[in-house]
Amino acid sequence: MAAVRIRRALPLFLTAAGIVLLFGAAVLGHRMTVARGQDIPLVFHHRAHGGFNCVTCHHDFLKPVVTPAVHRTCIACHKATPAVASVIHDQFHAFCVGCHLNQQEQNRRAGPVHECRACHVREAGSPGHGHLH
Amino acid sequence: MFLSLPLLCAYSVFLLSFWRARDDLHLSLPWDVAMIGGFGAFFFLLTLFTFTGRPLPFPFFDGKFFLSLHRWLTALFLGFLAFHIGAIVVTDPQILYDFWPSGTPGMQFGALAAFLAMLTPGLAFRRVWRRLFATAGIFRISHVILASAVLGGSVFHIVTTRVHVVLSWQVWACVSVAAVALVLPATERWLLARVTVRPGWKRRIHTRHLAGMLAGVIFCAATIETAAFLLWRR
Repeated sequence: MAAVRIRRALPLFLTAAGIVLLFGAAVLGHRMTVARGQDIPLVFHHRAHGGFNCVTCHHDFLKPVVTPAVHRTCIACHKATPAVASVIHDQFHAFCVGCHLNQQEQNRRAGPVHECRACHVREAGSPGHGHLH
Repeated sequence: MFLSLPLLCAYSVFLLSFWRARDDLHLSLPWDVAMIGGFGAFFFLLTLFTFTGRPLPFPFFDGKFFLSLHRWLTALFLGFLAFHIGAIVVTDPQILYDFWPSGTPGMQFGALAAFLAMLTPGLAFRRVWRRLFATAGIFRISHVILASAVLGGSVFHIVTTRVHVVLSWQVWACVSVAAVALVLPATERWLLARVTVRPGWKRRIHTRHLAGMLAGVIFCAATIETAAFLLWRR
């Protein structure tokens, strides 16, 4: 009788456990790898953003640092900071997208909002096809 | 055919609600087409929770009609889902980076929901479920668990990717619709147990072909309506 019950309950248990494991593995894998996962190659048009105050993006612009600026990138520093490493994707996307949306709301020319290839390129080093709307 | 009208009305309300805001996104046409394919898939996923394959009091048709309708709606759901994924991957192949473990959780949950969406109908083939599940009841519970996971993953994907569903009322509407869809099958069963059937009335038999016709009409009308809606919004 017990064997029959187990035989009946096993598929249900496996279904529920499989779903929990699948989604749990995705969350755990994301948390473990987000700080050292490979970056998607990105092109940032610095010149196109020249009209903005430096501290709009470079929040540490006025802080004294030892490392020369050419050896520092935003992503690398954020990845090395545990407090912000886990939200790196959301933070950077929200920062860029939020600013672009604000520009659009003010009927100004603005950068891309959602299209990946407007900022990200397929291979590192290849020219980006970013454009301004 | 009387079912096609309320379904299309529901589809129109669905499109207007979730596509209303943020038409200032300046998304390219391929992106918008891919996104609206995803919205279509989500709509047909919701209809699967309405027409679960169990006979309803309206229309007063036999069980084969409802089972066939459920299968046809599944085919439409998977078709729209395949179109959504295919179109966005072709348009922006960089999106595949999101499926790596370091990618965004919203995209990964969407991918897992899509995987489960393909697995669930696969397990529902009679030959398969009879081998895996001891009784039809256990299969149904397992099917419900898998379908709920697909719905939950899809809602999380829609809400967290923040492409069109971004305003707080849209997010709450999306979550509420999904919550209603989750309890709908149980509510339908509860109502069915209490519905009074007039004596002498019999369910109309040999109606399986009508389900296919209904799905075809809905597919054609939804596609035309979607194209017209997209042209209007752009």
